[in-house]
Amino acid sequence: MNLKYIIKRLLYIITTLFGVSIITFVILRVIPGNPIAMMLPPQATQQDIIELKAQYGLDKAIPIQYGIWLINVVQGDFGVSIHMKQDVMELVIERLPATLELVLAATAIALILGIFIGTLSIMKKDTFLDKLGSLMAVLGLAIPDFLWGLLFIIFFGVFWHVLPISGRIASTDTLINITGFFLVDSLIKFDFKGFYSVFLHLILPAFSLALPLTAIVIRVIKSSLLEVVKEDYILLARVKGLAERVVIFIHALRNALIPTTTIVGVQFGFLMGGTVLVEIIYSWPGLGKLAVTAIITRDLPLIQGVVLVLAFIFVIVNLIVDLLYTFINPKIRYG
Amino acid sequence: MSDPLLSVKNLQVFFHLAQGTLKAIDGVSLDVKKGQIVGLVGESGGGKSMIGLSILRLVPEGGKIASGKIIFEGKNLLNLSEDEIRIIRGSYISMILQDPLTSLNPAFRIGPQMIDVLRLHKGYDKKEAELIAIEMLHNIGIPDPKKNIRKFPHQLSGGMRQRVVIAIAFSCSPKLIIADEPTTALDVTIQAQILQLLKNLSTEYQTSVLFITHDLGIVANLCDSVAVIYAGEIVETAQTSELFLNPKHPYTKALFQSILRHDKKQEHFYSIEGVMGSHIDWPDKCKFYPRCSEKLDGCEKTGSVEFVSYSPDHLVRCLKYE
Repeated sequence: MNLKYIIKRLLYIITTLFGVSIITFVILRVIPGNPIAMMLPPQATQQDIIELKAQYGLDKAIPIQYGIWLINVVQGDFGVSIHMKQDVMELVIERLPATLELVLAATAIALILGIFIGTLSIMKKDTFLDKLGSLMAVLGLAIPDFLWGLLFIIFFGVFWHVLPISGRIASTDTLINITGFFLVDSLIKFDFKGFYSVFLHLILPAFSLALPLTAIVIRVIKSSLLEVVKEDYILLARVKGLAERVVIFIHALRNALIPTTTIVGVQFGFLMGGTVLVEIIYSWPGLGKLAVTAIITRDLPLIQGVVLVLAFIFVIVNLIVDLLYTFINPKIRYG
Repeated sequence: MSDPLLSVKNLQVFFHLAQGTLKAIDGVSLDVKKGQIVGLVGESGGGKSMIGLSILRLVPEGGKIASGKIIFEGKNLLNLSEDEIRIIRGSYISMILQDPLTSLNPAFRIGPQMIDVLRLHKGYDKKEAELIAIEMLHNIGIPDPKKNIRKFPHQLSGGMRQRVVIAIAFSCSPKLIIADEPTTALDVTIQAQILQLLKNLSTEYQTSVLFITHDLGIVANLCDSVAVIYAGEIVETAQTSELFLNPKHPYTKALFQSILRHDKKQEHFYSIEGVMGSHIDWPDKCKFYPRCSEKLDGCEKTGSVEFVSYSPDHLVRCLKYE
């Protein structure tokens, strides 16, 4: 990997973000409904509307509006939320860690569970474990994340009262916000009670979000392992006398992880999207919830900011996945 | 005479398929003496590789060792537990696979793939095992082993990779190596080097070799004795010189005729008529007779044909000699 490759990738990222911002900008301004109508009382006069539009710069042509927005963004100014009257970037940055914490936890769960179950069901083919894995692979995908969320709330929150179903931390606990990642924050302060509370709050939303991805990981791992175990190098590993778990979990799995990485990288974007519903169900104060509020109130600068940040995360994750390839698959070297 | 190192007795490997039972190996008996190189010759699909895999009890999924004995150093390998056979694999009996391009794991460097077998069977720590692996690579003629041990398989040539595979096979100084067409996938020029290497190593380590091949030329140069296999059955076994001077079984003769000769200009290339085909649910009788040029009236009717001793150490399975 060299500097030239990284610069090339960064240019791609900038181009992508540019494209995303234009499309969002235009769509938001041509669809029916606008923030001005939401802000004014029904008896407002035509004059009021024109004045308010001018105040937010919405009276100008769309290309000019975009130009002004872009110039401000390049200087780090994403504008002020129409509805909440707060700086857009401040709002987004404040909510981002909550969403990232949720998505990362879900990804970790999906990877660990998926890889483990997928690999085990290949090792214990045609046993009960294999059947259980297949069942999970079907159910996980057939039931969408928000439905898992509702089911979990009904069972773990309402019937059995074992896990919290709302927010990131118990209302009785307070946490000093340092990174915004509550798990990290509580650990930094050695606040184990807080950590435990945060951990419990994370379980249900993270699992709801993770289960569909788990199902996908199980499928990918299983199908790629089935291919890999036919390879000569797996036979050679057995010829060497290695134990079956070493053969499968080390020699075969390493190769099966290559397609898995691709899928998880792509799915990460869907996971970010999935947070919208899951965050609302669990009153999770993250970007997804912010996005919904912004859309309902037609808060143009805020929507624009949220979408841009989500797109940014997506392209960054894809870059990370591409870089990960060079570690997992030694045949890939970027130049 | 001392007992052979490996003695396969009446081995049967069956695949129960939807269409019927395929006897991939049908009553094979075979001896490998200490220090000997035994050739196992036959067409593709004849069950040569299956014998090799059966000895290590690594028959592919769907297949089963139905009966027989595999006596190695006095122990029947078929009676061992899974853990016991794993100790045999790699340390006492090792195998070299056909295609060096696919037999090394692409995701790992050469080092770990050599080291794991040494650590597992010899109990070396990582440092010691690596030193031994480097020395091993040096011995088998890999230049700059310290550098090459850190490479990934795809960064080495086919010949180099087969050397690495051979090094892995010899690294625990096994008593027996099963070499499954180790040169088929290589250039002719590299072939000779690899064969020489194999021969030298087997002398140096006093390792017996079961050499699986379809190339009679290699057998002539390398092997002490030969077994000819057709459709899962051994049809003739003899000392190499005896077999080459005095082939008896029609299949063996046909194989010799198929060799291209530089001293005879051939208008037509000789080939054995027909194809081996599948022998699913084949009754107990000679499997070669449909293609045989010397078949007798009795071949189709007679049941299974037993070995006939043509001379001491020269056995042939054909009605002609009964």
